[in-house]
Amino acid sequence: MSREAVEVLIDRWMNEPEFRDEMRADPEGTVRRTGVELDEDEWQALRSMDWTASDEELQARVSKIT
Amino acid sequence: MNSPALEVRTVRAVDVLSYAERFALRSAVSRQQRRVLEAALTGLRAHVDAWNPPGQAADRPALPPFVHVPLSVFAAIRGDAAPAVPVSAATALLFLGIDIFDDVADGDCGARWPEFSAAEMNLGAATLLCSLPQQLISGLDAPPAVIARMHRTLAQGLLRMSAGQQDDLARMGACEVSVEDVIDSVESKSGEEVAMFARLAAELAGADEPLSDVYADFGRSLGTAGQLASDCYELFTDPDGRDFAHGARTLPVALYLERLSGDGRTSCVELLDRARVDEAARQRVREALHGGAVMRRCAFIVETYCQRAIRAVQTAQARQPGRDDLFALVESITFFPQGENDEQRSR
Repeated sequence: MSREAVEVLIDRWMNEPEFRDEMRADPEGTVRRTGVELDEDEWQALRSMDWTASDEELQARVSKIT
Repeated sequence: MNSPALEVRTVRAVDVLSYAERFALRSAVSRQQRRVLEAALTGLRAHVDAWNPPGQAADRPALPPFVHVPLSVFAAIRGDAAPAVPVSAATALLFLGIDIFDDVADGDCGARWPEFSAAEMNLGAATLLCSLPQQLISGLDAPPAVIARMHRTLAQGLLRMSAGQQDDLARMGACEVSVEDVIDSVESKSGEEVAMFARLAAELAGADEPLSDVYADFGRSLGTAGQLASDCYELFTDPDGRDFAHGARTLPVALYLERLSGDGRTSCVELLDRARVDEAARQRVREALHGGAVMRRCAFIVETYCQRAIRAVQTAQARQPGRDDLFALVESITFFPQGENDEQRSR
């Protein structure tokens, strides 16, 4: 797992409102423009994730699945 | 008991549990050993009954993974889950032994063991891990070469899990902990457990070595994703806060700690120490982790393992109905269900 690349993305997500808006609209295109390299499973994870969900909504989801 | 309602296709949980119970109790060689096994098996029934209680929305697969995974893998290869009941009984006994060892290691002797000492619990767990599954596998209706492979899978899986558990114990309360170490440890323990269950079923179904490897990859990815998601639940939501109490350095904590240094890290470790017994400190930890977007970081890592599991099912060219059952297992773990993965799955 290219975790450093993922950490860079999440840091930008946290600290740059514009980047966050772009991710919500077009996650794959936004990440490709950053030049960050992900492996096949990470690209698929990126596509599967709901980038409009808040942390609270993510927490509610995890409470349902365990 | 609710378990008769739980089933994968035509196989009910009660079929697997009854098989495991009959085999275990018939195998006991003394009255005291039988008594210990009866207590353990009562706990297994309770675990299955609590898995999907009646009246609750079916967010989970029909059966717990230690039953569901071997049945579904077998069905994905052979098209029918019924002949996998004995191997599923073996994985149920393995799960039970592992669960008891975990309880002893964590000091959670629990209500199901009030009459027994930790030494007796250890003996019960050792019996469940080191004797009963091996005897059950030896008696399966399969060629000797398949039985030999399954014994090797069992031995190798338990060895890897033992190393993962040792890592876990070494990290309790630690100040220095790396995210990579935490993920490796979860892969070694929970990942290898489910990989072993999947591989045993694949081998019994007649899969060759490469196909068995693919199903083991599926199990490893599923088990790792499931444990990492459970660790998030324990930290952010579970009112019992057992991981807090044990000083466990699970993924959310490791992701937060690795970004701190100096006084910040020292203060966080002190707060985690207070959180072992103090609910207010637990809440402060949760708030700090939310501020660091830890939930989203965890979600990405869990989702990556879910995608790896989906890819394994596709690579294996799993047959129906097992294919849908395997996808349902992934769907129960991902943070992002509701069929977002349908397009990829159909490829």
